[in-house]
Amino acid sequence: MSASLSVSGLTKRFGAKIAIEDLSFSVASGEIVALLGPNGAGKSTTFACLAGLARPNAGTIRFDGRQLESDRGRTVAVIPETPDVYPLLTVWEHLVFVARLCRLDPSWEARGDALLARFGMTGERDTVGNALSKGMRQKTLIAATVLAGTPVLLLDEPMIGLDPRGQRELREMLAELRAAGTALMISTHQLESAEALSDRIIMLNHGRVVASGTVEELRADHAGSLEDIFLDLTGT
Amino acid sequence: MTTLGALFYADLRSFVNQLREIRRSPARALVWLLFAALVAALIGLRIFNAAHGAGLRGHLIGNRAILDIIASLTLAAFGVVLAFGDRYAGLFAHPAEARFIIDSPAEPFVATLYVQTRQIVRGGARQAIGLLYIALVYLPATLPAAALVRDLVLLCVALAFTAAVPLARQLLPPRLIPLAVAAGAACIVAGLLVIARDAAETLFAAAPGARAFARLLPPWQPGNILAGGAREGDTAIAVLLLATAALFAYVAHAARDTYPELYELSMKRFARTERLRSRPFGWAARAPQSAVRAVRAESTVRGTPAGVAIFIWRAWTEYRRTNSARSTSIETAVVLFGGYAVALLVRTTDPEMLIAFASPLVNIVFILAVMRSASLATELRRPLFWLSDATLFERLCALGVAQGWRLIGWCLLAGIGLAAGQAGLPVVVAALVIGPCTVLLAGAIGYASYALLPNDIDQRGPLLFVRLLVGYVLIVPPIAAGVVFGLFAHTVTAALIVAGATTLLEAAVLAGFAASRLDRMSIVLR
Repeated sequence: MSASLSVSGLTKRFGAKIAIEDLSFSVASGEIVALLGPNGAGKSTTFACLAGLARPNAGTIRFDGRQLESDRGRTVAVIPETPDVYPLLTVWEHLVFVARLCRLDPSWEARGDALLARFGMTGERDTVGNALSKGMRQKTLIAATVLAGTPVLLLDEPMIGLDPRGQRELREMLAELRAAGTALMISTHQLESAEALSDRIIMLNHGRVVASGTVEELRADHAGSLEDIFLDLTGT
Repeated sequence: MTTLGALFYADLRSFVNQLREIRRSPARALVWLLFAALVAALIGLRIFNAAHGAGLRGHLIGNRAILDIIASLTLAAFGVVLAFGDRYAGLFAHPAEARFIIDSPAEPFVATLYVQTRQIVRGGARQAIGLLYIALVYLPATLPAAALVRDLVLLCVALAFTAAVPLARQLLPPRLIPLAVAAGAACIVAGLLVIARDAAETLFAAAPGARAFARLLPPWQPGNILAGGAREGDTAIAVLLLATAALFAYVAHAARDTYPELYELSMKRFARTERLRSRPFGWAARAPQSAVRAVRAESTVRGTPAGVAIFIWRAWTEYRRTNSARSTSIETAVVLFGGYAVALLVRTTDPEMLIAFASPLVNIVFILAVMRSASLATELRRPLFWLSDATLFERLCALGVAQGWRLIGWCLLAGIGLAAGQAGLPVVVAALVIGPCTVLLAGAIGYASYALLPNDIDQRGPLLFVRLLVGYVLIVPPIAAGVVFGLFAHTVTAALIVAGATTLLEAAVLAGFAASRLDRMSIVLR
């Protein structure tokens, strides 16, 4: 696996407050990395910097060796925790919107159909965003973002709001995206999900990396379950 | 601490914390200071003018008509609210607050009274800024300072009273609704008739039958209340305050048994506010009439444009979902006919008189367009907005067209109506070119001001004035470019096109500025 997304010395301050400091890590193509940390650890800020929504005070973000600039919308996509869909567009029109905005080739329609079917949303194809439940909105956003096919995908608490079936579908889809070579980062508080899904874990506390590695590597260095390690390292 | 004590504490702390936030940011503090200085300067200038009898307008239609128009429009606005109500009238500011109050042991009468008063004070403070500007500019310059202050208070109280009507109307027994409709319609008709009579006496005085028409109507001049002495003004203020208090008391009394209804109404309003905040020109891009109406819709695929033009398709799709073909046809016909009617006016009326009458109206439309071209916050928070390799500048330009397309459409339709009415090429070109370009400029001013200080409170406070000032300043270069070109080319039409192009260039520069600022900022995805 070649390192596709590499972050070096990433620092972001909001006034006098340091949100993240000197973060360095990489996410390879075909890898899922879980970003863990207590509230306020800097997970969302890290995602915002990676997605180009926040300009870091220092550090570099590269994809396949190329420094990412502000026009990174076709390289990095982020799915936030709160699914903000367009209230008056139907589910299918969200896919149309992304497909046309990103100028996808005509085969997108078949892929879009498959995505909806996979999330059990074929019956909701013509339902407007306004009328969707939170879980359905989440699925719509995930489907639309996956359709765009960015090589790097960031998911902030993706399981929240999804029903058990949706969670399973998402897990399987993430595994498929990993197999297809997408670099995936997941920010979550659900340690079981992180352990089950991810290849590696990066643990943040007060904006700094306090641990990094596979679950086995973390266990080798610290005794106990992932939860014990988390509580031990973050002091929460 | 009692429920009311807790509410008051929360409101007070929110206010104090907002002040602290402003104080912490030098840029925000500076903008608020400039705003205060500007308001003080405007008031000072106004008082100076009044003291020296310096009229900004010794205008052709006269002070009486101006005062009549302000009072009549206020009356008509009240009539609209009374007759048609507002399905989004609500009580609680936020779902959490609603649950807190409903679950609390607080006496509903008192709690509702408190929340209503707070709502009116908050809303009034926002409205007062716009009102202050309009009053300072449009009230006769010869009005003494004390009368000016009294008029401002009177207009604020009138607004508060009008704002208190919709919620009370929602709680009216159904049998009384026809009465409210009739009373509201009477107010609208009375207001419009006064304006029509004054127009017949001034603007169309030369037109056949105009004076006869004016004589048919009673000589009632609602503007007298603004020009009148202390007694009339104070009485009107007292009456309106009492009427507002009566409406509050009615809602508070009804609240004993209507918390569920008030909660539901408030949630509808809350959801609508969230939607409107995402749309500049919210008044021209209405929110969906109800979620139920648009649960399912036929998805569109064919004919969708590629790239950032998809934003325009999205705006059009959203419009289709919230407007029936009939309402669109009526709107089209009204704007077309409006253009045609203006063409007739242009052909038959003394140009000086027409300019004197039309310029305040055009000015008010411009003020509204610039002031309402608001935040980008909701748009930027949506993750799909960022999925594209288009630059932020390209996205903002497309968004500007998407969010202003309806107003642009109005300009184009009015232009066609003007052409049909043979208004003359320069007037038609003004509608077809200057109108759309100005809409885009107003949107771009909104984007730039959001990029400057992306705070909702600032946007609704001092940045309203900043936007307006910038708007006025940016009118100058297009006029200058048009005049210079016109002097050389000796053609008004070409000069207008040059002015339009300059306006468009300004809009692009502002969009570029906004994109460059936003690029350096942190966008928070919720």
